[in-house]
Amino acid sequence: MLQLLEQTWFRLEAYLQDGGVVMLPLVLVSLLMWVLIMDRIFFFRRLYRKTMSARSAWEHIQQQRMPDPGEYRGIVSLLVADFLENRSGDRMLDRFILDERVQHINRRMKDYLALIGVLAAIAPLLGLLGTVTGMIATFDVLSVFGTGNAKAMAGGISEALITTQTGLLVAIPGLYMKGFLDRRADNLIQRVKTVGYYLRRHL
Amino acid sequence: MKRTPRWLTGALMLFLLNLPAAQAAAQDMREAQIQARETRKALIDRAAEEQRAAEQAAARSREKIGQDRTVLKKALAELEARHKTLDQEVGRLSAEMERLTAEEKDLTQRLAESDGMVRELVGVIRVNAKDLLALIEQNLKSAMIDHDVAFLASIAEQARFPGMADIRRMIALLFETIQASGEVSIQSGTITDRTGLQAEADILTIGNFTAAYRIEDEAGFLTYAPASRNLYALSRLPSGRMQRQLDDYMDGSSDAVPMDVSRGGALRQLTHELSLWQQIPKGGIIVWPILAILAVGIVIVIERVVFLWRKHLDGDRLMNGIAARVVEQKWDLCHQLCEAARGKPIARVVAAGLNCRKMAREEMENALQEAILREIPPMERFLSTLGMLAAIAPLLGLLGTVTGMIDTFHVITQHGTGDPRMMSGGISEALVTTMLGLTVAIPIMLAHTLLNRSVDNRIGQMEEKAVALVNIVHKNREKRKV
Repeated sequence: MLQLLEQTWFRLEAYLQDGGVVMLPLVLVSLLMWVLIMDRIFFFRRLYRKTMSARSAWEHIQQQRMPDPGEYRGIVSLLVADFLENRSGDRMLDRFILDERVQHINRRMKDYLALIGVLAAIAPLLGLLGTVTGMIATFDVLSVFGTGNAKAMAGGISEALITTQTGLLVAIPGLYMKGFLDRRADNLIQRVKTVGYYLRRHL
Repeated sequence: MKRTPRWLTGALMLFLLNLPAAQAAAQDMREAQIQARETRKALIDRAAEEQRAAEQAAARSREKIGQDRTVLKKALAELEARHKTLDQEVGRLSAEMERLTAEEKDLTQRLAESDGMVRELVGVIRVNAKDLLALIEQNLKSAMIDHDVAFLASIAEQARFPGMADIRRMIALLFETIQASGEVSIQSGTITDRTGLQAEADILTIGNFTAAYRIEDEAGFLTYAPASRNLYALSRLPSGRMQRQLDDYMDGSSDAVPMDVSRGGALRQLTHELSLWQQIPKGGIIVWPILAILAVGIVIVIERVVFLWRKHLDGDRLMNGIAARVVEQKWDLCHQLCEAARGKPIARVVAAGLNCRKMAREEMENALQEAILREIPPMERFLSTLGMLAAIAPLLGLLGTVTGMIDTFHVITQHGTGDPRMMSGGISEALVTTMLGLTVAIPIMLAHTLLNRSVDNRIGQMEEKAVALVNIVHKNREKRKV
């Protein structure tokens, strides 16, 4: 097992070395992107599950009862708790306060998503950069040794191909996850807004 | 033989003498006849005498001839006998000669055969000697081990016929070389260092592939020059990581060491490697606008980061403070709080809201909205420029690619594709500009996104705080009414 791990590490190191300078930023971009993606996934998951229906939200507000964190943990219960803390008692004013709270919650929803998107977009550009540096290395060899020395050219070519491959490997799942998280965020925003309108009507 | 002409002459003379006598017979026939009778008698006497002498001589010579004949017969017999023996001898000798000729032919053939074999063998040995010589000369170990190769050279140059002793020496040398090429060793020796001077160094040789040296704190690779049988330090040091690996390996603290299995090819490439800064001038004129974009981008990013950092304020804390004071109706304190954070957009918006606290809700909201809109342009300043720069940089790179390719094709139309070195100028221009365009675009793009996001975040925060302020003020107003 340990040997297998060591072998994998060795191979990975060789792969990174073959890719040249561009591999370091690529790996950093990939790591940062996946840390953010994981963070967002858990964040949304917490808000997604054990959510409250609009009706029970209204019941809680009517009874001035804080949602039980064991029973409800979703984004709607967050809104209800927030609203109950800030409400004034006046009907008209409560409506505005409700709007404010909805806005406050939704503002946080899209955090980091743009950054994830731009990291995913940068990865293929870095891959392209690696391609170009690889080709430069290849042509440097060509200008020194001529076309005869295919072995010397292989280093630059493998650099070009490995970075492109890695860039795409980072970008494709990244873009998919960006889309997934965007949908999830939109969904949550929609849900909060819907509940907001429902409560507004009943207040 | 001699006798016959003598009497014939006598007769002839007789006849001749008779002729004139007959002619003169007209006058004195008798006298003449007497005289002629006397003369004839004298002549007959003389002839008889001469005949006798001649007969005697003939008898003598006959006797002599008889003697001679016997002698000659004897000699003939002798000679015939000799001839016979000689004939026999000749027969014997010619048989012998025939035998010997056959033998000679056989031997010549055998000689030719063995001569061919020997020549072939010598040829093989010469080829091997040449190979071995090349092997030893190319082997970088020869820089440290002094093999005696003079005899190999003389064999290879056909100046010496290889004997068994030479072959044995060759075998021994070959085995020695094979063994040396499998060894990894560290020893001290003399090398030519990077400044071109002779220096003492620790030399690490890994088989006959790679040699490395260490002088004090400098570690690097060596190349071997077969002509001078000397080790030269590469003009450029390897990367720091490789140097550390070499150092560790020579100290025995590591098992891994970089080596060049291509026997110098990779190391030569190492010396030709260019750094980023050396590549930039190869990109032609388009490099300069890209670098200008980089400079402008950096200036904008720094300006924006400083600007936004200075305008940053914890809105939640401010609102909590305001809320507490609004409940206590201490408007002056609220103003003071905003004044303390003077210059920050959120504080300015809140201050604007506090100024029109007595207005109706809608009007107050309008006033706040106006204050927010006033704050937005300075925050968003230069950001669109930054986005544009991020978009332009790769386009310029692409432009450089195209101009580089145009250059390349110009070269091709003029000189053909024969020499790739001719084309490499345009190609390197194309590649360097693309690389530079991307290198500039990527960080600017990242910075643009982050800054944009941060500004959006601040605007959202301002809007939220504005609504919160309106709500706080009105909540308080309702309470007082009640």
